Amino acid sequence: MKKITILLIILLSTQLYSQNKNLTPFVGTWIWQDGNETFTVELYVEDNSIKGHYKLEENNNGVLTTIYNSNRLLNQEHNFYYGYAIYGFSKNGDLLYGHVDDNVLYGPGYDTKIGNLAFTIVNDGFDGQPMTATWVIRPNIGMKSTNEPDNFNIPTNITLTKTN
Amino acid sequence: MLRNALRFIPKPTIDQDFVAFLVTSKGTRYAMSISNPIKYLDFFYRYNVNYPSSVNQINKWNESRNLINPLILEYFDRDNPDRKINETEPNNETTLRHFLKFLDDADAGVKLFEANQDFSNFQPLRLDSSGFVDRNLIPCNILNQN
Repeated sequence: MKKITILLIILLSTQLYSQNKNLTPFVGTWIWQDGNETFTVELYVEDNSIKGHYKLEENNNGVLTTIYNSNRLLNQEHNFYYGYAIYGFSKNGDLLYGHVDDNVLYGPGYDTKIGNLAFTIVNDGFDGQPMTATWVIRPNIGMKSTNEPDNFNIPTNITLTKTN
Repeated sequence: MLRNALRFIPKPTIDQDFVAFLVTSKGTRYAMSISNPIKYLDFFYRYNVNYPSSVNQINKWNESRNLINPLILEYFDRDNPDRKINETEPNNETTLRHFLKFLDDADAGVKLFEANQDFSNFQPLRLDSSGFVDRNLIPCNILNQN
């Protein structure tokens, strides 16, 4: 019985490790720079999935201004923030698939536009160069309400560089 | 579709009289009814409320999001190579089984019916204990399904 228990623990540990191993390469901070603007994506593992935030900042002669931040305050009284706006999973460590809530800059009438995210690592960093990944967002398949904006506010086709 | 129903239709009218009709590109016809409006609104709570105003609403908002996200990934995500609902699946019955399983997993208070060509007859659908489509339920008034 003891041997069976140990074996089960080893098998479960191996399974958990192999699941998380595919998520690890995505974890960290990724940026895309466009002129004086920097789009930053923070990814982390929680509940065996990848979750994350994004923000856009502008640098004007050393003065940093946040243009938007997905983890925005929803309820001041209860100090409740939006939380993760990126949710996904990877089965191979190269492609992170999932969805992104474009929850910034919309008015109260239409708060969030959800898009499908394909986050693909194109340089794994083993060549000594920084890790890079493409960030591609496409609209959801299916019905769309008439007041849903046609376009996303956040970048939809960029290459990010991992900074840490 | 179900999520967007909340955007199309004023929330007070989301009740047991709500029926959505669907004709697929393959010509199959379905109808969906909301058998349990409370479950339905709770499941899609995150899309129903933009700014939760109380601890109870915050909890429901988080629960809804945490329930929906993995299901979307598993069943519908267009970049998931193993997604269960896939437009390239040639077998309608396979897709139907997966969709019924999704409805079971979501427990969102939604029922699915197979309709005839002129939408005059509706066969309630569910999965049997072996995971196959059970068409043996007695067809009845679609608006009185509970």
